[in-house]
Amino acid sequence: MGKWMKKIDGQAMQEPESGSAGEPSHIPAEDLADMVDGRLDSKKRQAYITHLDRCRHCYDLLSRTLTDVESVPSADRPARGLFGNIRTLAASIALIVAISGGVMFYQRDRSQLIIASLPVNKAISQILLENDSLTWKGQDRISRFEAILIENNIPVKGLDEVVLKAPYTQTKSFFRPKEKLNIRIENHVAYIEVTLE
Amino acid sequence: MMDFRALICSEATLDLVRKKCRIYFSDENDRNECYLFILDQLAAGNYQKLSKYSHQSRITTYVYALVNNLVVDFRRKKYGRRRFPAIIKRLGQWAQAVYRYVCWQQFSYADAYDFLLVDNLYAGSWDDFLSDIEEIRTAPCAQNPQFVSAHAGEDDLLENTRSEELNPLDMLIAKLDREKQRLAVQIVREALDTMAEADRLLIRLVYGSDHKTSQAANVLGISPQQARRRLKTLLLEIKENLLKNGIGSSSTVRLS
Repeated sequence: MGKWMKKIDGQAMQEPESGSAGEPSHIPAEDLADMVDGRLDSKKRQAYITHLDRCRHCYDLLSRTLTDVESVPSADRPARGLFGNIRTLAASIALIVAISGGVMFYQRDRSQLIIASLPVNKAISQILLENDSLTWKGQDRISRFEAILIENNIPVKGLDEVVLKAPYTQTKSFFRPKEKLNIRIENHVAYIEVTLE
Repeated sequence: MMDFRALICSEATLDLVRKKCRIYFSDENDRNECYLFILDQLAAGNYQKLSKYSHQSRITTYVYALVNNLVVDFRRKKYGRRRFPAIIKRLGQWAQAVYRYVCWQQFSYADAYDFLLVDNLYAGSWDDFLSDIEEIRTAPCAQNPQFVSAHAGEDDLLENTRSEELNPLDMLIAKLDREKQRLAVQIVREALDTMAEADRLLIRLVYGSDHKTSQAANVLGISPQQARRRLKTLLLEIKENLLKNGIGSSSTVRLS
């Protein structure tokens, strides 16, 4: 850690905790996140670089967010550089295909954390009841599960495993309460649980 | 459609909020209040804040940014703007500097001592300093949990920055005597003042805040290679300025 550079920096920007008069107020969190992940358009970026030069508050938030991101293992971060651009390009092409041909494609490097819930319908119920295993490793079953998710507008691709929190048993009652499938997808593993709505 | 409720209730988010409140507040009640405040704010207005997610960054990055913002909001709500406690004001300028360095900027007391000497705010020995800061240590500091527990963990707080972690500019300044340190700090500041905004941000992120060059490159919208090259050029410029003033030599300023 460099204490002298920190000191010099701290002296240069000690007092103000807000932007100068006439400047836009602080950088919105959504833009700050885009900036940290290198996803901000160049016009906005330039404006924010100017703002960060004067605003201690925004610089501190940027720095703290960068620290948080850096604490995440590199394998969990999005691709960068040439390959990152190729992936972005591929995703753009896929989007065009999706719009024109009704096919849905999902950019893999943004699939790190998806959280969603769905009402348990017949298709979901059937796949859950296929066997008692809590961890699904069979590619066929996983692919069919992916297809169900995609049908329900949950953009997922490349699942390696599905983990069911507790065995699923169907309630056989005429007045059975509605069930909900809670899904959390992280690092290509789907963690699922059925709860009552 | 993202399930924001599940996102807030996820272990990762709750752990993050808990961690942030623990880092930024020393008092257990403050930590608990901070925790509830942030969760409340994330859920407020039917997840209004979370629903502003742009879908460009990763959702985790957005949650980090939001939570960091909310910690600051909570601090302001609870304590208002930063002010020196009465006892610090009474002790004068040198005490205010120590308080700012240790409480607000989270430097160690040893670093604060070095800075005071360079800033000409203190002329005593280290032993004098240790005795003079006794009163400062009794002042409250909501921002730095270590500040109030200084007596319990003296070794940590009094320890100086380890030299093997220093960046090239810090390594150079650390080796100088007090007079030259004073001059070097001034020259580096002047050099930073004349740089383009993007260059200054690059230096601040990498050397002032210890971020990775690749992360700084992301912020600036350039490749890591470009950032490394730029950093090297900027360091050379600073080095030349220092050399002109008789500070450093090619052997003491390594740029790699």
